[in-house]
Amino acid sequence: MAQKIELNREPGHSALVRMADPDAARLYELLRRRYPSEEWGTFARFGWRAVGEELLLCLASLDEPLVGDLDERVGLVRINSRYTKRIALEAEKHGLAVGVIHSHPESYAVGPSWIDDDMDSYYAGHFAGFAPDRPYVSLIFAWDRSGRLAASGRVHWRGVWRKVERFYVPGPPATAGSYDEPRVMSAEAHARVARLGSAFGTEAAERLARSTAAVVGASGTGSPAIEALARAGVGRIVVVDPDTFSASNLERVHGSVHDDVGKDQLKVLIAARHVRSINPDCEVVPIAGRVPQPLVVDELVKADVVLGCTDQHHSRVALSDLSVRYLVPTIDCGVNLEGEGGRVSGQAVRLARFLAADPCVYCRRMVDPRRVSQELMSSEERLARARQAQEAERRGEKPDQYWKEMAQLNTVGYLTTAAGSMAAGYAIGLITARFSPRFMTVDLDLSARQMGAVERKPERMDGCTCGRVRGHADQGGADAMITPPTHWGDAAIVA
Amino acid sequence: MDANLKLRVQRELRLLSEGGCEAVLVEEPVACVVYKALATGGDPASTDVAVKIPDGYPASAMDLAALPSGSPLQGRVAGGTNPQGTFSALGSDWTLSSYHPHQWPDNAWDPNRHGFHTYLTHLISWLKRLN
Repeated sequence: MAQKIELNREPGHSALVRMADPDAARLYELLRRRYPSEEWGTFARFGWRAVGEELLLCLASLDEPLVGDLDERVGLVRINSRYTKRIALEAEKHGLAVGVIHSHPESYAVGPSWIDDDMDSYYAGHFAGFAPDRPYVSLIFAWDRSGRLAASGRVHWRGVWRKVERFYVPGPPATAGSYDEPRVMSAEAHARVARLGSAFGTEAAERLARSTAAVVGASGTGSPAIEALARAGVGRIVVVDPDTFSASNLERVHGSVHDDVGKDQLKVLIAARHVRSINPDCEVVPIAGRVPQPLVVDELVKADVVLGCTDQHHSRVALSDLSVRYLVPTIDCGVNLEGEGGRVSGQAVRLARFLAADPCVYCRRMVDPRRVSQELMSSEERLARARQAQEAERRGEKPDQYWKEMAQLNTVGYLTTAAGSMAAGYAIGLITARFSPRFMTVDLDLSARQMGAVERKPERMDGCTCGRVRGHADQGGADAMITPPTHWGDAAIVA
Repeated sequence: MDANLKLRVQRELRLLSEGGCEAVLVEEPVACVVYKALATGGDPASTDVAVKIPDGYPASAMDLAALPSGSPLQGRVAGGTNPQGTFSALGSDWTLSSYHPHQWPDNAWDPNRHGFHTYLTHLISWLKRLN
């Protein structure tokens, strides 16, 4: 007698699933091995993070079936016991969650059948013996004739079954429970983005309205990015910045006005005000904080895309780490104005893509380790080290071993606006699946002929941990590239 | 202490332990690692060494090294005549020496490669090459 699975329907007691290429692409290929009429499946491993009562699962790797592991004679997925046994024994050695992913035939519903209930009830109990206190994950995918992807899923954790409410996948979306993407926009909201809708399609506008974009940094490059996202109709924007607005920001910060000067206003609140004035339907989450503070990570891992818009090197380290361990696609942007002899000699814009399989910032030599260290020091330590450097200089020693003054990057509003808007454009491309950044890192010099575009494609350095913790989420914590300093205090969502 | 930070340092201490070096994680009042009984090139023949866990570790470079306050080695190790302050850990006071193995471009810090397990090699040569 099959055991019917009851899902916990309490608000917030749901699960989210993230996947990234190349594992997602390989999974899709595997699941359609016997398409269109027959199913196929695989075991998989997932990293996870509890965000309040929600559970985020990240696809870490596939434990693909070997010949004979699944029964080829039947159209359904029938898993032979030796496959189950192998996966259970492997689970004793790794610390990740175990799951089964299988397809339903083309254009079939993706809801679990009573056979799926039977399998999941059995496996949830079985794997608990080998992987105690870890979630058990069961996902079903199916494509219709036009290639639209539908998915369903449930996760058993701490004695409760949770429904997978959202799938974050690369490319076209996997709609939870149906091939039809839900419509959330009013006619008035559609009218506001009519030009975008006619260029990208109304379903793209709907996807933007259902999406969350996070922007780390709400100043020069961040504020135009936020504005572009708000105008494009993004439904939820998370803005992260610890700093307050000052007079010199007026030249660059979109949404700021002269009256903001001298009020010690948080930049995230100026951003929130600006977004609401553009798109009253947009939910803004202003966070006074920094990556990787836990509250900030909790929000970023639920974003469809993250934009890195700070000139802080430690932020790049944290976002690179986030993209690897939590599979969050990230676009980082930066600018620098160079001058010589009273003339502008370079107007540099850098856009960098951090996808899960991309090499990390250290492999790509995108950060200065000394700068990272100095950024992360407390103000007391910085002062003490600067003093020590002065004393060393007086003794005739090199001061750099104590402290090195880091030149502040020169920026100007039109350049930061260009960079931030371009980053927002790629975010819109990723969310709508209309285009994606095909470069890993691209440097532009707006002063040079043909804008001096140089594409950089660095390889992963031998032995770098970034290649082995993809999708490991919290379970890859020992390989986190950065931790929040205690002197930062706590991040907070501000009203 | 941040959970990821603790996991990271504990893993590095396990690597040290597998290599035969005893080291202890101290969380409070100052987060540091105390390496036990490292061989020196002088008298005493061995000493404990404390190294602070920098803010933001492992993104932040490890820096400095501390001997037990009053150690006769203090004036003989590189940077020992330029003390960088004191702190308490494991019931003892420790004096930091101006020792900076990762502050130069030819040995730039890389959190994916370096850690307390690799810092040991710097400490060994620091303690062997006494003035």
